[in-house]
Amino acid sequence: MTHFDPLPYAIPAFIVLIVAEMIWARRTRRMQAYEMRDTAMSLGLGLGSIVAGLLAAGTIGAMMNAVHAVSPLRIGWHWWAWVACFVADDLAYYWLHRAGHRVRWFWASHVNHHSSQHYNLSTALRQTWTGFLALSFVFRLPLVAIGFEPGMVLTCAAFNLIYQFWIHTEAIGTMPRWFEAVFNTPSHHRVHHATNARYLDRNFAGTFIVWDKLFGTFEPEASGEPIRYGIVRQLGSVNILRAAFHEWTAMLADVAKAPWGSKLAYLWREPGWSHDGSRETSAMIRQRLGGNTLR
Amino acid sequence: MDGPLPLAAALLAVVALIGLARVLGFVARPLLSGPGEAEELAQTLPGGFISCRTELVSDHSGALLRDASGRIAVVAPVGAHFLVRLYDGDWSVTQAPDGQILIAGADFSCRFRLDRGAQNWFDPTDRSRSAAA
Repeated sequence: MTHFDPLPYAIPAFIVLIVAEMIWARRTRRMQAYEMRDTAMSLGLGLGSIVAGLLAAGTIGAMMNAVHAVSPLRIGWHWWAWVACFVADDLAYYWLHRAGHRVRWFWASHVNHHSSQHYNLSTALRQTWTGFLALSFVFRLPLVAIGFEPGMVLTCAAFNLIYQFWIHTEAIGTMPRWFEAVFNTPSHHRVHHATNARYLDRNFAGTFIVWDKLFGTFEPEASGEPIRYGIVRQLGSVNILRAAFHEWTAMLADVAKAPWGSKLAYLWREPGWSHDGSRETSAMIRQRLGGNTLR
Repeated sequence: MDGPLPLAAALLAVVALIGLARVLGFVARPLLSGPGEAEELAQTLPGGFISCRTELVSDHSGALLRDASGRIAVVAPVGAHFLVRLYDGDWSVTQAPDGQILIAGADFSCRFRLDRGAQNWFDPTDRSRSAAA
């Protein structure tokens, strides 16, 4: 499988931009923008996710090749196929990401990206170690089934991930109006990382914010409302293993304790769901504290 | 990313960035501006929490709150921010010789100095009431 991975080439730029953001935060006295242990956790999780990705790459590639091989459709390596593939991959990413917040099985993998109460460029690198375990790659299999080359899909996915790095910052307010209308931006993504009731489960986009507008999950950033970042029940730990696996262990504990009729629901229902209604989902929080319910 | 060399370089960069964060002073403990901030944070607990008694710890780095039904919540620093936890009856609460109280839950711990001591908050009556709530 031909596959160009741009991620290693982007890492030096990531480092330079993090240094620049730290200096900006220091100079503007935003001393809550970074915290040393939180940064260590984010970067450690990022490093671990690279290792996890390397371990899983062969299997994922083989599965994509297998699906592509049985498909009668072939799009090929035309220039326009790259454009179409990037857009289609971004749509697949939207649904993967939405499932990552609305289905606890996928949330168990994705939650560590949200477990920081800080929002800075290092948070962007706080990536999952368990994406392969969660089978997140299945969201991209339809792309190879409709004829896109597996290598093209993986390259586009990597560029999508790289795009999302720069939007994890408070250093940029808003971009020009036309850009905010089409692309995911720091403003849109701050909303996504917020725990404020009105912002829960909003703005799942990767590169193009139009998907959220199309599927009813868009919420603009409101001026004058301070954003609280993180997760509804904050992690409260600087233990990297706990950050990587805490939701998996909690979910499996819930499955073990649940009545037989409810066990599977703890895997596929939304985070916060409980068979006895003793917990709160994001919809319940929004109802209690105000805000629109997810359509 | 092939081979161990790029990974070693990335590891070195991670260590350098952590060091830079320390040099630039990103190690500060957060401080609550007042009881109102603690009460606002407590409202984010599942089901909500309306405090009827709020006590900031001596250096404003946390708070203890009680609602009308006797539930106790703690606001504790984590990084440059705070987390909120509801007392579930299973916390270990001990008082150190220097007067500080150490609170250790299943997934967090904190160390506070209260002006009026911890006894008013975590006596056996409170514990049973909170556990029942």
